[in-house]
Amino acid sequence: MKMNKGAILASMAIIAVASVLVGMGTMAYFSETEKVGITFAAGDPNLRLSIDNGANWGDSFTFSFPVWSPGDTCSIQVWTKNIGDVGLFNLFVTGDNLGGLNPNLADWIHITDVAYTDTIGWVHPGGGTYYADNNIFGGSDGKLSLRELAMGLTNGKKMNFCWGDPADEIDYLPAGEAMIQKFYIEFTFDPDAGNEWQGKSCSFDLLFRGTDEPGTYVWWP
Amino acid sequence: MKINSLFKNTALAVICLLLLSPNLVYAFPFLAGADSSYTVMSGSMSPTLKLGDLILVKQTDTAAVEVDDIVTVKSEIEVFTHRVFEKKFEDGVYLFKTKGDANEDPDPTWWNASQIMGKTVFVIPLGHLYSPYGYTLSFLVPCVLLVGKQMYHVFSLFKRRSKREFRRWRRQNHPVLDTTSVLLLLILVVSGSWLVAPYFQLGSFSYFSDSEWAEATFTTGRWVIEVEIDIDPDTLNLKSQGKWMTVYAYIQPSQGYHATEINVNTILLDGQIPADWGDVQEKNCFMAKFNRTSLIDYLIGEGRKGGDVVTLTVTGQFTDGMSFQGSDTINLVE
Repeated sequence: MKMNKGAILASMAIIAVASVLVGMGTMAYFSETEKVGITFAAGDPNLRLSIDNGANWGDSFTFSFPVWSPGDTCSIQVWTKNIGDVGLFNLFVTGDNLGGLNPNLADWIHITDVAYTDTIGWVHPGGGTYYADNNIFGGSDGKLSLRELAMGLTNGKKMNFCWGDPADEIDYLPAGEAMIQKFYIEFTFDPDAGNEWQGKSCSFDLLFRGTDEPGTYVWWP
Repeated sequence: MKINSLFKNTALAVICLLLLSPNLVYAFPFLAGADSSYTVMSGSMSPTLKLGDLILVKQTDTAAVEVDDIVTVKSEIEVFTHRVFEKKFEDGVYLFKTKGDANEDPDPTWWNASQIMGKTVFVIPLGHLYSPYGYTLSFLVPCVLLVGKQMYHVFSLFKRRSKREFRRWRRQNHPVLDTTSVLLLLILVVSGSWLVAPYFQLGSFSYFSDSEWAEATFTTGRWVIEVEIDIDPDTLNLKSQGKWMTVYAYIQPSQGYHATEINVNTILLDGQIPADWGDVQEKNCFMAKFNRTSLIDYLIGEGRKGGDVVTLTVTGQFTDGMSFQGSDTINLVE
């Protein structure tokens, strides 16, 4: 019966291995399901914005800053939420579509503060050093201008403010309006702007882009 | 009998090869005429590409890449696969904008030719493994069959307790790992490896994203009113004993202010010499008087001399704080 015993043991070993495979495979399957639940989601993420502290939500808004003079600052606070059924790992904010009657005015408007909400509340990261690491924005004056935010540099580099934690795959903007995240940006009209900039205007789009891209850089130029 | 057995073995071998072919193509994409292969690791190209699908990418001249082609792009962060949404020719190179099929908006960046790794030429839909039915059919069922077969094997061994039965069983030479068991094991290994493949293999993402915007408009106000200035006399003798220099400031009706609104205490000549007094004139004009001796001392202090032409600027404020300014030139003699 030695042969018999050996064959029984071999079969039992195969059963054990197969059972372990089933267990591991099932764990992997359900783990995958949780990690990349977006795969089985029926829909998409759907970003919504509000510029009046959540009173009204929509796809896009038009915002006019008060008339200002050199040295003045003005700011905008935008609330964001995701009403889709797919979560978003992170939120990129940048500028786009510089235009208006006097787009060159954008050279005299600087971004002087940026903040975002996180689980701990408002965060003002970097202390304005977001462009200092590689010194590619702001040129010699070290100031990030509205033109640079909206149009980027001639080499194609463009500032993207970004928040989220895709490394841990935790949604910054979960699906189903589960969380509201806020963004704040402050602009300053250059105190040295000349009188020729009186009565001028320019406009741009403050672009919000939620993604599930991996690899977040807090200040990603 | 032998032909039947040969047919069975051949069929099993073909099935085994079919099951293994994704791995072979993944490792050697040239077998399918492609240059590289990726596993889809996200779902924004669904339903075209599903998580776990194997895509084969062929390097293509970017001039031949057209809108609606699915391309693999190497960004600064990693590799991803989206559909070409827009194509343009600028400064001698083709630029491409891409979009995930499941995304509402295109990706914001224009990709240049060097970032386009190629067109997706073939998709092996292994992503079905990630659906409940696919998982059950491709993984659970083979596992259950293998376990069941081996349990039956053990049960059969226990049944053969007599020496005669055992000798017959040995003559039949039943191996523990027969062809069917090997096949089932292969299915388990191939299916199982694909289930965890995205975490270990070279992958291509296809992001979900959604973009919205707030259009912001900046409008600057007016902080200085430019007024017409006339300084009298036009020629100033640096040895003059006269008492006053007179400045006339003319305000246009369209500028929204009246001469009566000028605060005389704020008026300065060249930012240095204050006005001694002033009065409102006709035609919305304000007249301000400056001490001539103070002006001559200032000009000499600045190194001015006879023969120079000097531009003098007058500044001041209206009663509401709005500034005004204007300039005029005078000739110096001595």
